[in-house]
Amino acid sequence: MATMQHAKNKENNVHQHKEAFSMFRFFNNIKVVPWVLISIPALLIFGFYLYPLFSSFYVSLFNYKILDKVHTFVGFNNYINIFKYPDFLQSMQNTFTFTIVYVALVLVIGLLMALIVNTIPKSFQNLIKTVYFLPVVVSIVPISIIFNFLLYSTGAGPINSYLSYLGIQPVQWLTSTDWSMKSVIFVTLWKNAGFVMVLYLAGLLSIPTSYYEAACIDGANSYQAFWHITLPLLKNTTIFLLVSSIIGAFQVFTQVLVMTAGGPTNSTATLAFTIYEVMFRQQQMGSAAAMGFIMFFILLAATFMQLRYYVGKDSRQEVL
Amino acid sequence: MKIVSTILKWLFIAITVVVFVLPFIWMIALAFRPQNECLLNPPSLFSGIHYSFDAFPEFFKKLDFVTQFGNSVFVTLVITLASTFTSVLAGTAFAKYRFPGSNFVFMAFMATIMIPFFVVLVPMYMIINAFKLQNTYTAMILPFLASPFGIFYMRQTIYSVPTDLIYAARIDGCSEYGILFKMIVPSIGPALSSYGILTFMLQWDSMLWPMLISPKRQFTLITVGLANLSRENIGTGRWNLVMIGSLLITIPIVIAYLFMQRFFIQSMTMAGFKE
Repeated sequence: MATMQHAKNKENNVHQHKEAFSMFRFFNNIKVVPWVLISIPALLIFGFYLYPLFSSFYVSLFNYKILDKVHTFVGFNNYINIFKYPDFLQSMQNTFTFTIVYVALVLVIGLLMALIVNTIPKSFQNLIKTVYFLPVVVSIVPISIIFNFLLYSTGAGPINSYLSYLGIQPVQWLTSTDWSMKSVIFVTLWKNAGFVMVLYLAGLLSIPTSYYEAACIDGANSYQAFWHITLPLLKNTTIFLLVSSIIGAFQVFTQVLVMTAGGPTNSTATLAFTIYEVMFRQQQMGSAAAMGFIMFFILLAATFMQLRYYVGKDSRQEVL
Repeated sequence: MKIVSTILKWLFIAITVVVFVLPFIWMIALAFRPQNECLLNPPSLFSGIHYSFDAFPEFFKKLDFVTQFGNSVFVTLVITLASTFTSVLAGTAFAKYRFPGSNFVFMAFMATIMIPFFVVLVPMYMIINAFKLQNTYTAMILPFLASPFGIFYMRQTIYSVPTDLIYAARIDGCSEYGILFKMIVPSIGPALSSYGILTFMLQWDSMLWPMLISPKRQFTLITVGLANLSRENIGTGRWNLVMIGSLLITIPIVIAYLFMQRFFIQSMTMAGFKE
């Protein structure tokens, strides 16, 4: 009896084993493996990128307040109404000002820094690069806090104090509508110039010196060499920096929140900051979603170029 | 002429170095001074300043620094590890397997690079609300577990793992998952750490999402806590408190950076290089 029981158990075991084995065979099939591998990422990408995109558009068609039970369909009225909303128009203007001024300056200053660092001795280059890149690795919150102090409006602020040695009266850096946006732009430049500089320096180092030698033999001066050799060969780097800086600048948020909270009188309220205000303070989910979509459409050209930069010229190599 | 340009060059370098370093010196200087010496007119770094640790006890009373710093480390690490993992999974599928619709699925993934976070903010907030996940780690982590850029980057990297090696391992009886974890993952070590550093640095800075979804003191991140402390104290002149906070969250990153500067710079700028 006991042996029979034992034999039966054994048979059962073998059966289970076989089943487990075939399960394994199924999941180890090279036709199945890729689906297994992409299942989790696909679920996450769908759930947190694609679904919210469509859902966002859907919400933007409603007068949607998070606490309301019923949301009324308003069609495209949210889109029409936000363009009548002065705070939104002001924020669009601020965002465009910030983006254009910041992007232009960060590219020029970053390139200038790279050109100069490129000419100093190698041993010194790394040290300078380390210093320039330091603000890039530090979080934007402490940087904003430090500059809140440095840009303090009275003579007690270090920057005003340094300027007073040059005979300049104290400037209301963060508390006047004239200077607040310039100050936010300056701090953002201070943080990111090192990033631009590092990428441009890498671009400069990849230009063969023989090009310059040839230009020199042909009698070109250094300005001509810069305009006809250096700049054209930095084209790819410039496109990447231009596109990614525009995308980043258009969504500027944290330094605005910590330094000025959009003030004084909305002079630094960017689009991102206004979306946050409309969503969080006024709980107008429909309008906030509509503003998000406006941002999406304005950035579409830039984000499309970013995508092309990555995927565009990429050719598929050997696969199994 | 040559001398003038050399002088200008070094002058430029000297000025920029001062501009980049001096703010950090002010941060350190203010963290260690008493309240009544924070807003001197004119400000000074040395004369008449009594440096001490006096403001530290009050700082730790006003801000749950240890808790929030711990939250930041935990949330950022989980996102970094998980996002690297999911990127490797999908990257392997796209680089080393052929399956129907793979190009379409890949392009659909890549298209999501074009979606700015502010577009999906509202529905994301509503999803988390619907699941009653406000003020949890899950809410802060969940949306960032997969990254289209990470998938793209890992696919590019995994292309370079020789396909012949994979054939050989398969003939020797290695399972597909064995190939992934014993062959592919070990051979892309540098790419894993580069992507890890990049993700860590980006997530460490995150502000908007944790502030919206997890505002409670005990559950939020240190960036949010510090920003709140700064907003509360903007008119009170308590610069020593906010500078202590800034100093404490800056030190670990700066030390790590100074020890591995080349690696940091490489990782954080890798998005700009096409391999």
